[in-house]
Amino acid sequence: MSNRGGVVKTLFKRDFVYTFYSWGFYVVLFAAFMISSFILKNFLDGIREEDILVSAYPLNYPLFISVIVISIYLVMLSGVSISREREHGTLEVLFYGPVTAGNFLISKYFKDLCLGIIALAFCAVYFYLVSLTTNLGFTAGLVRALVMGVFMISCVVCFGLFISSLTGRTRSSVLVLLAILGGFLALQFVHAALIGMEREALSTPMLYLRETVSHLFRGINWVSPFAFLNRGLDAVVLDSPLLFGLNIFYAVVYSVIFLILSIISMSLKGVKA
Amino acid sequence: MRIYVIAICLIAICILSAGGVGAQAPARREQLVYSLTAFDGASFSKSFCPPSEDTLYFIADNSSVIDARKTFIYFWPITRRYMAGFRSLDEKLPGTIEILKGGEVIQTLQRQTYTLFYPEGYWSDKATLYSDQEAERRFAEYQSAVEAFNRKLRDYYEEMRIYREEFNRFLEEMRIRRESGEEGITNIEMPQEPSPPDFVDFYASEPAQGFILNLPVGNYQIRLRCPDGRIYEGSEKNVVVFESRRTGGVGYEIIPGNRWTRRESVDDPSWIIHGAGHNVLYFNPYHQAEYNELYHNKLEDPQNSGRIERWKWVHIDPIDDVHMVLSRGEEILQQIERAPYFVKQIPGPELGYEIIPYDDELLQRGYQPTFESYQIELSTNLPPEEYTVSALQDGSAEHLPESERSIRLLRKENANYLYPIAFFPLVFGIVVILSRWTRIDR
Amino acid sequence: MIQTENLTKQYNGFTAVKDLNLKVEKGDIYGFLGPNGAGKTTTIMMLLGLVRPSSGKVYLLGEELNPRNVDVKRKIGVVSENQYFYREMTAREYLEFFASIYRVPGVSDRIDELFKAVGLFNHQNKKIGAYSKGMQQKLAFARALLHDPELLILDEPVANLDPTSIKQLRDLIEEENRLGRTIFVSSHLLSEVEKLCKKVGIIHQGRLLAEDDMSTIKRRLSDTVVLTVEVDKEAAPHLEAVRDLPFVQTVETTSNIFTVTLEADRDYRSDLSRALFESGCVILSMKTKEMSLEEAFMTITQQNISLLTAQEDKS
Repeated sequence: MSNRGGVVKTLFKRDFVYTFYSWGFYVVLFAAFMISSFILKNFLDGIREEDILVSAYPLNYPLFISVIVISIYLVMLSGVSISREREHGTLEVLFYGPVTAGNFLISKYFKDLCLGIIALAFCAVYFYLVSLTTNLGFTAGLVRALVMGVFMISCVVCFGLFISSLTGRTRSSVLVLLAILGGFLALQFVHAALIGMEREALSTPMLYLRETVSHLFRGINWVSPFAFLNRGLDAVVLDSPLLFGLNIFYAVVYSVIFLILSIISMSLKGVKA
Repeated sequence: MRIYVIAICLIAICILSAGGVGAQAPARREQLVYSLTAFDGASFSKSFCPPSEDTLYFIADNSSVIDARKTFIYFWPITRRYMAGFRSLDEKLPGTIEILKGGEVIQTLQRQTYTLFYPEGYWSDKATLYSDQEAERRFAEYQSAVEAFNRKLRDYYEEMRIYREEFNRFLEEMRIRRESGEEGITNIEMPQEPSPPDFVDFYASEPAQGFILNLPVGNYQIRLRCPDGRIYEGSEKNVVVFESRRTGGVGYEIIPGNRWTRRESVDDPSWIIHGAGHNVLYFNPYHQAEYNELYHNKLEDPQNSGRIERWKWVHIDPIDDVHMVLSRGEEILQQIERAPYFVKQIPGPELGYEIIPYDDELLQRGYQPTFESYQIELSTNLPPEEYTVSALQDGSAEHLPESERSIRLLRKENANYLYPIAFFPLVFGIVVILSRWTRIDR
Repeated sequence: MIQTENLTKQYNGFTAVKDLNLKVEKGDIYGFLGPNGAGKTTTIMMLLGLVRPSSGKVYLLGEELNPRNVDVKRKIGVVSENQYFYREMTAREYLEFFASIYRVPGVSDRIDELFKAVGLFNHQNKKIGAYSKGMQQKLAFARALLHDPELLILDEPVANLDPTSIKQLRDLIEEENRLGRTIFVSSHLLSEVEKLCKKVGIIHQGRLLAEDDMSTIKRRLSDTVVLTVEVDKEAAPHLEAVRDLPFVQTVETTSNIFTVTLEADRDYRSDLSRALFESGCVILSMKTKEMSLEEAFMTITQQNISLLTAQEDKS
C-alpha cells in the first residue's frame, strides 16, 4: 500500500472504530426504526379485515424516513468532523506528521460513507425482520433503494464535509448547516405554497417572487444533498435502470465536486480554528 | 347586550355582502381566446385558454386542434375560473397561426377541416382526429351510416306496425276460439316481433375548421397573424409539448367484492395490493401511459392546476382480449378468464350490494351484465406470502409488459412486534460499548 | 537542519514575524526565546508548513519546505504548547495510531520503551481523557519521539509540569540530543532555555533580536546580578563590609537581608560569602534574583532597536 493509502487507512480506521464506541450511532438508528415501526403499525392498522389496501412498496416510505434520519445524523457528523478537530487541535497534531488535507478528507469521507453503509445494513436487517414478521415485502425495489441510499449518503457526507471545511468551530458548523438546510427547507415550503396558488390570486410582485423562488428551487435541486436523495428514491420507484444509473452518476459527480471543494477550502483555511 | 348587537350587525353585514356578491353579475369582456381540442393520450379534451393563462400544453407527435376565436369571457368567482360565452359571441378570427421556436417561425398553420372519429361510438373515450378529405370522407361515412340506420328504423317502425296489427289479430282469434270452447294448444301461428336495427356503432363529429398542431417535444411560442400582417394582440402564448414518461404498461382498476362503489387503481407497476383475510377482487386491465400531472391537467383545461413534480397515469384503452393468472413464484394458482358479473342490491336492513356471476337465469329475467371483469379470489387458505397477478395475451404464455402486480397477504396480528424489533441497534450498541469498557483501565 | 531566509508572516496588516533568519545546525539544542506573542508559535507553524509564509524561505533537513512533501515531516517530531488528544482513546491506542501513521517498525516494543521512558507504562490502558496535564505532556513527548525523528521541535515543552516531571523531561531531551537528535526548543522561560540549550535565538515582536551561544547571550542580556542574602543578625551594621567590595555596585539592607547588585563578568558569590563571614555574619540563605525574561527583553530590545535603527539609517 502506498504511503498515502496507509495514512488514509489509519485515519479512517481510528474514526470509524471510535464512532461505534459512542451511543450516537445506535440511538439514531433506534430513533429511525421507532419512527418506521410507528409508520408501519399505522399502515397495518389501516387495512381492515377482509379488505385490501393498494400502495407503493410500503417499506419504501419508512426506509426513506430512516435514510433521512441517518442522513441528518451523517450530515451533522461530517459537518463537524473537520471543525471539531480544528477546534480541539487534533487536526494540527495530525498535520505535524505525514497527513495532508487530501488524505485527511478522503479518510473522513470513507469513514462517514462506511458508517452510512453500516447504517443501511442495519436498515436491511430491520426491514427483513419486519418483512418476516408481517409479510410486508422485502422486495427487489427495497434492495435497489438501499443501494441508491449509499450514493445519496455519499452526497450528504460530501456536503457536510464541505461545510465543515469552511468553519473553524463545531458550533459554527452546526449553525451554518442548520441555516443552510433550514433555508433549503423553507425555500421548498415557500415554493410549494406559491406553486399551489392560482395565478389569479397572486399580485404582480408575488408573481415575480414565485418566478424567483422557482429558479432558486431549481438551483437548490442540484445543490441540496436531500434533493438528490428524493430523486434517487424516485428512480427506484420508477424502476427505470437508466434513471437509476443516471442518479448514481449524478451522485458520484456531486460527491467528487464537493470533495475537491472541501480539500481546497481546507487547505486555504488551515488547521487552526 | 352590546355583544349581541355587535354580533347581529356582523351577521347582517355578512349576509348583505354575500347577497351583493350573488346579485352582482360578473363583468364580461370581449376577448381573444384559443379553443382547444387537445389529444389527452386516450381521447380529446375540449376546453379554452383564457388570457390569464400564458401557456398551452400538448402531447408530442399527436394531432390536436386549436382555434382563435373572439368571445365574451367572465370570471366566475365561485369556481375561480374564467367562463366563455360562446353562445353570445363566437367569431372565428381570420389569419394564420405561427409557431416559433427560439424566436424563429418554424411553422405557419392554416385552418383545416377536421373531424373527431369515434370508432366505438359517441360515448366511447377512444377517438381519432382526421383532417381535410379524410375528415369529409369519415363524416360522409358516418352520415350514410346514420341515413341507413334511419331507413332501417323506418322499416322497423313499419314492421312493428304490421306486427302489432298481426298480434292484435292473433289475440282476437285466440279470444274467439277460447270463447267457442276450444281448449289446449291452438294451431294459430304467433307473429314474430321484429328486432330494432342496431344503432351506428361509430361516430364522426361534424367537420369543423381549426389549426391542426402536431409538434415534437419542446417549448414553443404561437401567435395569430392577421391577414393584413399584424400580430393579434393577446394572441401570443407559450406552448409546452411533452411526452409520456412511461408508456406501454398495463394498469388495473380493481373492484373489491365488498365495496363495489369504491374502486381501487393499481396503475403504477411498483404498487402492491395488500390484503388481509378473505377478498374477492375484480380486475379491469387498461393500456396506460404516464404523464406529468401539471402538464396533463393543463392540457385537459389550461385553468386546471397540478404539481410539476407529480406524475399521473392515464388509461388509454381497456384490455379485454387477455386472460389473467394468479401465481406464486413460478407456480400458477389460477387462470382467470373475463366474465360478466351482475351487481345485485341486497334488500332489507343490511342494505348493500352483492356481486354475482351473470348467468342464463339473469339473462332470461331480462337483466344485462353490470360489468365484465376478471375475478380473483384470495381465500384464507392461501398462506400469507407474495402472489403475482398478471395479464397474458390470449393464446400466448408471455406476460403483457409491465402487467405484473404483487399481492401480499399480511400478518396483521404481528403488528405489535414492530416496536421491539426497533430496539435491536441499541442491543448491538450495548454489546459493543460494554466490550470496549472491559478493555479500558479505570 | 533548520534554516530560514527572511521569513515573514503578515496577518491583515499585522506583522507576526519579520525577516527571520534562523540557522539550527545538526545536533544542536537550539533555544528559541521570546515573550508571549513574540511570534514563536507562528514561526514553528511556518517551519512545519502549517502556516504559509508571506515571504521568505524555509529549509528543513536540507530541503526547501514543501507542505505536500510528507517525507520530510516523517523525520520531525513535534510537541506543541497545548496538548491536543483524542481523549476517547487509551494512551496505548493513541501511540499505536500515530505509529501506524508514521509507519513505525516494531511498534509494540517501541511503545513499551517510550512509556517506560516517560513514566506512563502503568497508565497506558487508561483513556487519555483521564490523564492529568503532566501525563498528557509526557504522552505528547512519547508521540513526538515515536518515529525516531531527526529533528524534535518543542514548543513550551515544560509548561504545566511539576518540578519532578520537568527534570524527567529535561533529562529525556538531553538523552535524545546525545543520541544525535537536533532539538529546537521554543520557550518564554529564560531559566529553562538556559539549562537546556547551547545556542539561543531571541525573538521579540516578530524580529530576531539576537542569535548566539547561551553564555554570550546571557552576558548581552545583563551585565549585573542581583543577590538577596539572609544573615543571622541585623544587616545594617555590616553594610560597609559589603559596600567596599570592588565588584559590588549597590547594596541595600532590610532587617537581616542584604540586597546586593554585583557585576556579572564572573561568579562573585563565594567572594561575597567570605566577606560577610569575615565581618561576623552567618549566611542563612543566598538567592540570585533572576532578571525576568520581560526585563531581559526590555534590556536587549532597547540595545537592539538602537542597533537596528542605526543600521536602517545607514542603509
